[in-house]
Amino acid sequence: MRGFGRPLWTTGDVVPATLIRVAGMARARGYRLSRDAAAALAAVSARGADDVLAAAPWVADRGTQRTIETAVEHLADALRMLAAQSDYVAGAWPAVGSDPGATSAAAVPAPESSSGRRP
Amino acid sequence: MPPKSLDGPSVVALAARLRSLAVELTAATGAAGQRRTDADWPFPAALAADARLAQEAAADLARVVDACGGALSAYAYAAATLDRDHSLLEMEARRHGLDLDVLDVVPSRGVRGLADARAESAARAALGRLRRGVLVLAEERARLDADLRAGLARHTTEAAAIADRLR
Repeated sequence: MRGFGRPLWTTGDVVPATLIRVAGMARARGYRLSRDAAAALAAVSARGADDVLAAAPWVADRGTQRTIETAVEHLADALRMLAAQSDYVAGAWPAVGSDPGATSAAAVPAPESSSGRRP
Repeated sequence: MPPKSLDGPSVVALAARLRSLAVELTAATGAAGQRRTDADWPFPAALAADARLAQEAAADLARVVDACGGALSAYAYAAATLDRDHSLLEMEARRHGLDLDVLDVVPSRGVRGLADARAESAARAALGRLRRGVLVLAEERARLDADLRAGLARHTTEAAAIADRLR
C-alpha cells in the first residue's frame, strides 16, 4: 500500500506516460541531437510508420473510415520522412576523432540554452 | 439491430500504438542532451541545420501522433458507451415485445404471446420513449463521428505540414 506523502516514483508504480512525455519534450527543446539519438530516432520512426499502417482499423461509417485512413497515411508519410532525415544525419555524422573538420557544438549557435550534464 | 459502429479493439490498438510511439519519439530526441556537454561534443557544423530540423520535426510529430492517439482513444470509449446504451434500449424493447430497427422501434417478428391490457398499455407507453432514445443515440453517434473526423483532419494537416518541412 502506498504511504501518504511519498512521491509516486518511489512506490514502484509505473510513471505515467504523460510525465515522461512532458519531461522528454522539455529535454528535446533544450538540447541538440546527437549521432546516437539521430540513429535511434530513425529506427523508431521507420518502425512506427510500419506499425501505424498495419494497425489501421476498420469502422462502419465510411466517412470516418476514410478520415482515419487518410490520417494514418499522412502520419506514416511524416514518420518515413523523419526516418529518412534522421538516417541521413546519423550517416553523415563523422565518427568521433576521425574528422579533423568537425567542430565543437559550442561553435554552433544553439536554438535554446543547452545545459547538458555528463553521464 | 444496426451494426456496431466500430471494431473497438482495433481502434483502441491503434490509439495505444500512437501514444506509445509519441513517447518513443520524445525519448529518442530527449536522450540526446544527457550524454555529452557542448565542450566535448564534436558537432559537425555542416549538419547543424539538418540535425535541428530532424529534432524539431520529431518533437512536433510526437505531439501530433499523441493527439491522434488521444482522439481515437476518446472516440473508442465514447462509441463503446453508445453501444452499451443501445444494448440497454434493445433489452427494454424486447421486454415489451418490440425490436429496434434503424432509427425506429417496430413490433417483434415471430409468434407473439398473449398480453393483457396492462402490458399492451405499457408497451405503447414505452414505444415513444424507445423511439426518442433510438433517435438520440443515432444523433450522438453522428456527432461523435463528426468530432473524430474534424479532429483527425486537423492533425492530418499538421502531419502533412511536418512531412513537407522534411521533404
